Amino acid sequence: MKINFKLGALIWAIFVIVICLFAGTKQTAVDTSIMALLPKYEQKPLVHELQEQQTAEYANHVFIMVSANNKQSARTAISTISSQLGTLAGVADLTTLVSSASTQTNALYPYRFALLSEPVAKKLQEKDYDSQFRSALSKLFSPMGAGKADPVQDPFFLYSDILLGQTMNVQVKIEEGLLRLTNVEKPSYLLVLELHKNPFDLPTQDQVMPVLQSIKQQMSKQGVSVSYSGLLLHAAKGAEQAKFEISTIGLGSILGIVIIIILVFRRIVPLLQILLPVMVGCLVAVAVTSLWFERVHLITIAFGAGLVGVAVDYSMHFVCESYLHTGTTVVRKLFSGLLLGLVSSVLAYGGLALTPFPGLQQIAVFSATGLIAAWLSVLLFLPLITTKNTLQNKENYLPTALLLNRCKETFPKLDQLPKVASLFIIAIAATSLSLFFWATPQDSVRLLQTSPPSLLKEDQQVQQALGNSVNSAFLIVSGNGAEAMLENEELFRLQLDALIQNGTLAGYQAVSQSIPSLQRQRQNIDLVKQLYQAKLDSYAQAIGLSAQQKAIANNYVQENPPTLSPERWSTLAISAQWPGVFTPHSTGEYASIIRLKGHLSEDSIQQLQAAAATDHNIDYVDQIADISATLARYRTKVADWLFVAYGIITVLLFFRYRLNVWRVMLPPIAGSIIALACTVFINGGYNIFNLVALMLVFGIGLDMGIFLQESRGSAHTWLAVSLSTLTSLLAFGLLALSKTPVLYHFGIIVLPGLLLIWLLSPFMQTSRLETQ
Amino acid sequence: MKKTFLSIILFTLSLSVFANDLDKLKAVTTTPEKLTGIFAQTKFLAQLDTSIKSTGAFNYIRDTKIVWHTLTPIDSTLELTPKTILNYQDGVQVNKLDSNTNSIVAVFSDIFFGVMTAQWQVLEEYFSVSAEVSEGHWKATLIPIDKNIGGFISKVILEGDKYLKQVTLYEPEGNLTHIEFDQLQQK
Repeated sequence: MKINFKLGALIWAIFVIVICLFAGTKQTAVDTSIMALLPKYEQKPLVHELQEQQTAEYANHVFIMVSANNKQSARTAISTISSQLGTLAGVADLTTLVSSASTQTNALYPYRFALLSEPVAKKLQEKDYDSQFRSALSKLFSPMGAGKADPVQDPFFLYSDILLGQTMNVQVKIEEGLLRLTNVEKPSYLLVLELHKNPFDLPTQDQVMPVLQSIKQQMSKQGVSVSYSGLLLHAAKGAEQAKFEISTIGLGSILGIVIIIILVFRRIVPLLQILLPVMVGCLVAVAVTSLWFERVHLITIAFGAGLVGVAVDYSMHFVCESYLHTGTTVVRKLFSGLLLGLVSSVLAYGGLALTPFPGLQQIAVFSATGLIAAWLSVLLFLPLITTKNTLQNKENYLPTALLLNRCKETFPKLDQLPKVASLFIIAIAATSLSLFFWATPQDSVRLLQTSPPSLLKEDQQVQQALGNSVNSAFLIVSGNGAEAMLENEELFRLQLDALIQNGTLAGYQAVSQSIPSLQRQRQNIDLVKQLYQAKLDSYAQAIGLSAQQKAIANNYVQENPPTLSPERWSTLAISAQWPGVFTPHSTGEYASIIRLKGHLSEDSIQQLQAAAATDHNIDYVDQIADISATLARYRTKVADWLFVAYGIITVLLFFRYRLNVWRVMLPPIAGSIIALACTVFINGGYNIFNLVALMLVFGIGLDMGIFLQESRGSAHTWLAVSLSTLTSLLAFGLLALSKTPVLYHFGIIVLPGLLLIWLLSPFMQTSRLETQ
Repeated sequence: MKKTFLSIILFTLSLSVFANDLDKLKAVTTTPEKLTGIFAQTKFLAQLDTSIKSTGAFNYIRDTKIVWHTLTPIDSTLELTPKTILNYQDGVQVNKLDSNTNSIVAVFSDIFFGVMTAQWQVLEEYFSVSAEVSEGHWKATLIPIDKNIGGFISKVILEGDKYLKQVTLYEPEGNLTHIEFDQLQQK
């Protein structure tokens, strides 16, 4: 038997070391992104691909807004900032958007008859040639104009109208080679920093963030305000917050355990014995999770910190019992209890892996591996290292155990008080019924937001200054080919234009505004031909064109004026606003995005959705709404799983405890229901993270009940249960103080839940010790 | 080393000349709160090798609005505010452009405001300014700093005494617009 333990312990130790070494060589980033928590849900592959593309576009850029009271200091600041950012070469580079506007000015000139600005095309469709004629004359006599005045090549100033009709994505103008924001009162300029790696990359964060922070500090001393927008800031903040909260929660938990154990055992050795399996459990959990997943999410780590609370149960029970018996006897005595505890907890957490929610899957993997590793360490390591406990303390109960046990004995037993018991059960049933009917679920995306409000506000300020809409909704237009996509877009834009007309929509940006379909370009050329037919004579007369000049002017239109092809357009700077729009997707389709401007009311959203629903080439996508819908879906999934887990485990435990199963199940059930009721009372509703926390409450509460039942009221079991509850409370008490909403919602359930279970458990114990 | 030193000296020298020019200009010229007057414009169209002439009236309220009313040979009004450009013909609005959505409109309106009201601070943003000032008469030559503006305007010459009296705009393709102001009145 002893040899088996030694061999097993050796094999297990080697396994732990190897897996940790493996994981150590892999650099895994901490992820705080909302998107990472979202399941790969049932979306059209095309829609999914485009969403990823949109996210990546925002992800790899940092927008820097520099504002000062006067232009000169703003410009000086810009050059200082640029040179400081220059030190980041290789990690991140400043991009110059400026060149984009310059090359386009004349590149489109050959296509002036095919492109036509929207108002001009509309006028010509309505055969309002006179108005274009007058507008051209007025431009000719105007002291300044956009685009060259050339009465032969472009007598009707169509090119000038194209230039003036072009809209930019961002509200900037070019000023001495810099981008100046036009939508802000103070002189403000924009710099765009492009990251070479994704913003969750820790080395990138470590290199870029200090530079950005020092720039901000240095500039604020000079009265220049610098604001940033970009995923990098949120990712870095999230990582920093994660580090801080892990260290406070983890440290708080461990410190609490250390103090309590030293107080109880009055020796250091039991402390190390208790912590060893917990540490092995955490190490293995971290190692396996980081090997399994590309990025470990903040939420997994936070949950993992709480895992300490469950894992410590096993070693606590073992060490407490080791004061009475030798290692092998303890194993024999505790094995069934420990196994039941492990199986039920792993079942409860492992069930989360069945949801397609990546965050929950990570938690499942982390918890299951952590618990199994801690459990194995208890069974394999502790018998070897706790041998001295018994020799010194044979037949001696720990004083704390006796004290606690005396307190417990004073508790009345519920099976002696049938009236109280029925009242209690009725109260719990009533609470759960009212929860079922009246508690409002909360599925807002803000639950997932880990960034502090100040950072979000800064981000929003920059985005608003840029003129980017705050709404997350957009439309996707698809087609079997580039031309089909553009034609579909043009067709759908008629509906959007109608919505603009009736005031439902503020505006939109579509790629077909920049490059119309070939069909539309040909129609435009025909319109221009008609304009020339109707008005070229009057024009020539008005400004005195010779017959020859008139003939040349006419030739430009009549002799196959060129159309703008997607290939040519893609080489122009204006195409930068629509990256990759003419690259087919994995489905073979082409797709473009129509960006919506302004605030969308409920009504406009409905109208847009209705409009999109009429056309199978159009998809209305709202990521924020999707996230909320997903949260709602998985809230119900987790709720269902909780019911199923309770059911399965009740059946499982029924085989062992028969009718006494209520003594194990009632405390976690009652604790969970009351904790949930408290949360609903405090926060006005509940959410998925409250429910995930209920799983943990269930796991720990179940362990408690099983051990108490297995030990039949042993003083040392009650000590172990109390100690592990206390340590878990310390860990989760700190979670409830977390600034991260997800962690807060977690802690707010676990704190009262565990406390209640601990208080309730003694009531449920059997009054007749001889009963099995 | 010597070369660098020399270029630094030259650079600082040119800067000071530059600053002096502007200071002198700012001292001589005035931009009244409100001004009205008439103008005569000759536009040389390089493509046709002819000039077209127009006349009209203008008025402005500083930093707020410029109304440029061409009376002959056609009736057309251009109304600029720092944010918009409106075009009327025979009293009917035919065009409206907004600088919020189009960067060209923003630059266009800035330059127009700057030139017509001789606002040197605004013009400095887009042009390098050199000036000759003698006995109350001045002449400023503006060369665009930015390539983008260079696409529309290659040079601007402003001349005047107390007020701006003449503007000549050179376009890259050889077109040239010469404007003379008269009957200027502060109102």
